Amino acid sequence: MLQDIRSNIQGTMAKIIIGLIIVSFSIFGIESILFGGGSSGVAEVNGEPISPIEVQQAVNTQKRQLIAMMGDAVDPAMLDDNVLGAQALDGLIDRRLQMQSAADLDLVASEAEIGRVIAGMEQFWLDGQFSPEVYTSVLASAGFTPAFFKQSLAQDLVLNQVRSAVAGSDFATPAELALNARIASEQRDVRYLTIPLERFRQDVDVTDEQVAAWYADNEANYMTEESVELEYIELLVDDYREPIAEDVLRQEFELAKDSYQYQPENRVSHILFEQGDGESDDAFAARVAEASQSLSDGADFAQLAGELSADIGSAAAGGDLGFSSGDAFPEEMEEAIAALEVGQVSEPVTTDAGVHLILLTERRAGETASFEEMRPQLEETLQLTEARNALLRKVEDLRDLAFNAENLNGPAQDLELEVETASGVTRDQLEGLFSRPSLIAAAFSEDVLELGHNSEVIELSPEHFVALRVATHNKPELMPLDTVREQIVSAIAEKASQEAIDVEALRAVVAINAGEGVESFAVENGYEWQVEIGAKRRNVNLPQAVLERAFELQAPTADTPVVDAVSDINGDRLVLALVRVTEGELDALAPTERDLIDRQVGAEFGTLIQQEYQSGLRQRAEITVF
Amino acid sequence: MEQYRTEEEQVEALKRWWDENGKATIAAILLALVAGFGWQGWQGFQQEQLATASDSYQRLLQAMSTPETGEPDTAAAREIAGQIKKEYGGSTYAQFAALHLARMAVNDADLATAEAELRWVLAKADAGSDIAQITQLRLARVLASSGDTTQALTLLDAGADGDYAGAYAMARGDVFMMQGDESQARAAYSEARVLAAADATLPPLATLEQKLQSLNPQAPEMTGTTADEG
Repeated sequence: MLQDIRSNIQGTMAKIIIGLIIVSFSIFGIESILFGGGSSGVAEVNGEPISPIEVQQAVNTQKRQLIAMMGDAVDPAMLDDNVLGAQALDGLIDRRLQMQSAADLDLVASEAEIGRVIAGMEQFWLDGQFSPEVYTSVLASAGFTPAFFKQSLAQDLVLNQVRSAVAGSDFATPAELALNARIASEQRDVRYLTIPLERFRQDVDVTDEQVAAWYADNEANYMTEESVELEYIELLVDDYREPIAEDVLRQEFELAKDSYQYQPENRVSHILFEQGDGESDDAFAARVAEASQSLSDGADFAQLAGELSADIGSAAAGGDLGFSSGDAFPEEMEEAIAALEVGQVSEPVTTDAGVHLILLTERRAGETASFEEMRPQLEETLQLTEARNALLRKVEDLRDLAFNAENLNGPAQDLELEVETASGVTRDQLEGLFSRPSLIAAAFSEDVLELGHNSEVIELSPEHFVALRVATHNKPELMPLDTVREQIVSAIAEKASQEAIDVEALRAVVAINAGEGVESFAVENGYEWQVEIGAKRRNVNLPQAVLERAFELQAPTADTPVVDAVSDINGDRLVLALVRVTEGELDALAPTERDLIDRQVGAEFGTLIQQEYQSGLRQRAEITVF
Repeated sequence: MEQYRTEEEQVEALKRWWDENGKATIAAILLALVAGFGWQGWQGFQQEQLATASDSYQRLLQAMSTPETGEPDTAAAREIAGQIKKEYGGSTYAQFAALHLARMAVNDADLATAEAELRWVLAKADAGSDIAQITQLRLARVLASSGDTTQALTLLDAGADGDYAGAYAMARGDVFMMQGDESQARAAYSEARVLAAADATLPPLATLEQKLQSLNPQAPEMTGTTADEG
């Protein structure tokens, strides 16, 4: 067979094949053949895989944000990878869809623009300027590589371009402005009076029959709250702290001594000389030499710095630059500084900034922290490490034993732990250990509540674990009549009061409908009354309930107001008369009001379109989640 | 099939083959290389064009954004947008730029220019694409504002079953309101509200709610004439 190939290679076919190979390599590159194929994604969006790494990265970002937002109060259940993973994947799918749509539209982000954006981000600045070192270290601490960061920036830019065109280029036409102004800035004239509930509180004599009837009719209101009596084992790291022997501490100190050493530090002042534009090299050297000479003649360094130094920042402070531990200044300076004694002035040192004369003002020798200084810190670290290990061993043992045990007593005995009890724990417990959502969820889970099993050993923090079981389940029960009699009596009285005030409100409505003025009814009966002319939808003078109702009601005819009554949050009745409705007019609006409507209309069309764009992408897409 | 007996014979055969076919082979290789690299070069050129268009579009967005101090620079924005349309007329960026030109024209109540820009986009965009659907909606709204509510409704009805049914319904409500047809407007707005509510994360649309409230006036709950009297 090889013979066949060899002979065929000499034909015209061979030339064509070689040609094709060359063309394909020059177009696709060799990597497409070497590294292509084989997807191992968690989902596929129109054939493009989403890798597990992407999801993990999104989950980590989300976790960091949650922790930054909520601190220690964050419930570990919220940081569950499965929950966050599902959300993250959803977000990634949306993003991928938008990117595919942007690619179809041939949208790209240019390298130059990405560079501008990165250089403009203040997180990467040092002394008011972009610093490549800060850039890489900030990214590294956030867990990104520069390549990944640039890629996601490029995506952000492109997605923003799509949004700017889809939603951001929307508008409000003049006719729409007029139409919306007519409704949004409509004005309504309202009169209203307030009937206070206080005046209609009823002292009713409630009979036993009434109480019994009420009790029978409203059983659902008089049930006890469901609760559980719990048995639990709590494991805290502090219970596993053991004293650390003196010789162990000493040993640890000897091992780690070197890392407790303080760096030697030098404090220096300098005088900076910059060569003037027209200044010759000789004249410049002479100027430096002259200053150097007067210093060795005993001139005051600080004073001379104030007069001569071109470094305006330090000149005012006598040339003081503060401390350096050997890396704050350019290498040339640091070398010269290292060679100086305290009080000595250097020979002229040349750096990029110019020529320096340097005075060493103070030197802090590198010191080793003493054992006594380091002892509390060492002890704490060692103790905590040991205690955590001991705690984790206990937790593992408890997990093994509690899984099959009938209750917690056996495992507790075997492991020398204590079973504690908590009573009256409810589903919306707000205080104490059992207000933790993960514990409530466990206590009221089917497994624990219905089947009577031990819960898992639940991690509240790496230093705090709890296992629990339900000893008694107190189901909701009808409370005995005697314990709720008081409640029922006041409920009956409350109902009577409400009925009485409604009768009064109705009397007011009927009177006003019959032609009596709001004012005269109010004055006659001793109620407060108010008038609000030209109230708009954002009015702040009218009570909220009155304002809302006034704009829901139908418009009045010329001389008959529309009358209605509403309750406010205190239970007072507000009787309102809608007297007049005036349509809004675009031309009468203040420029700010007009702008507001303009922006609102454009933004509403934009938001709706953006949302429909996104859901359209989803509908058309082929999405597989593995 | 030929058999070569000695090495010399093989070399001889190769030489003969080279004399016969050498030039053709070289030519084929060169041709392939030129085609391959030419294609790459063309692709690179295209990418570069897109990148510069993208840069210009970013400058357009910059000019239209409101800096902390005062107003957006609409004169500059118009100039950049015009340039994008002229130099990168075949790109999506040209269509985006025209959409922004239309928006700026509407803000100045220059409906004729807005209509022209939107029609330009419609001519360029693929029929049925997202951009085409969005542009058609905006064109209808501009036409309605210039008084041609009939043509506006024709355009809106044509796109009512597309991907942007909610926004189309909202616009249809507005056009009916302009015509004074409150019952049709009410139906269209209600449809828009149902479609918008399909996404629970979307905040309520305040002006849509206001218009619906205004179209659904309520009778008083406490009247004193009917059941309340009992």
